[in-house]
Amino acid sequence: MQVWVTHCSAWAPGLESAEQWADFRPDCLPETDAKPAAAGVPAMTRRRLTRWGRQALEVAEPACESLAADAPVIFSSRHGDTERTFKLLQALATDAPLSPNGFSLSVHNSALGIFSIIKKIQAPSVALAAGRDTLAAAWREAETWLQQGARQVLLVHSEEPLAEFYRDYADEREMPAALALVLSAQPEPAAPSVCLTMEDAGESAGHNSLLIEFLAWWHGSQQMLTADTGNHRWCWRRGAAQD
Amino acid sequence: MADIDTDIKQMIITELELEDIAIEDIDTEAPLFGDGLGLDSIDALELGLALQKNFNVKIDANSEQNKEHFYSVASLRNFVLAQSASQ
Repeated sequence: MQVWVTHCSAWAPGLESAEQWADFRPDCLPETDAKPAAAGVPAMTRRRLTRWGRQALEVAEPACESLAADAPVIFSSRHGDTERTFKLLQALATDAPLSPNGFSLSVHNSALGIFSIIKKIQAPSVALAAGRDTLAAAWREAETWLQQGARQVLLVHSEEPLAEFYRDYADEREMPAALALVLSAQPEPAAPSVCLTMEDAGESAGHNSLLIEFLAWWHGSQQMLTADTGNHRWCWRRGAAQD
Repeated sequence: MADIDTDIKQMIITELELEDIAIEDIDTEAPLFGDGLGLDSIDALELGLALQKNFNVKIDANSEQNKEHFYSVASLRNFVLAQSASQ
């Protein structure tokens, strides 16, 4: 399905402006603890968010400016916030009391929930995870809403590398980064059209997360992105669809 | 007493991750919840845990007096002192 990207904002440590993103290369990922300002989030709420949630709200904020009140919202993330999950599990394992705040924000839709409260969003919303295919699955979810008649969909994807404890199990390179896209079923001036297709899996899976590949492609000049996740081969194409 | 007040304020800032607030910003007598510092019910739970951890006090979850104990830094200090005196 062909969709129009009417808004795109992305954040990663040291990568905020369009110029900085234009220089982004997947072979050199940011590795600092820097967090975004998330100035749109009230301070008493912001203090509770780790970078995973902060960066999601950082990119979602500017996307709201052009967003219709009835636009469905999709938040996607493969692992969510594993640092928080690990701390809670560690507390359980040692019979220590759980942090009420940590517990209340340990669910996959915690950033989405806070976002919908702050922005008073009453439109349908969903938080999803789909392994290495998460970003593409979220895109498919957005297409589904558009096919069902939604004029716009907000897609927010937040990625935080696995907590140190789980790092040995990582099967792809990940980066701390968040992406917000507003997708529309109708052409809009200056909005690039993009088409996502799925093909049979290639012989081997790529090393980078879909988000890394997408961000590099989106800010570059290639017409097509082909990314293998081991399950599927995903192809994002700018311009009119081939079929 | 001033030392305990400072310890309690530091505990509140650290445990509740009050990014932009310094010890001097917390008024010892002002309400912690609602109008004053603006803490909420999750903070109350977090604070209860922190008091047990840092000051070894026991809090009865069903006690009607909790609201009074948790009113301000001053009332928390009196609560902590009364608890340690009775141990």
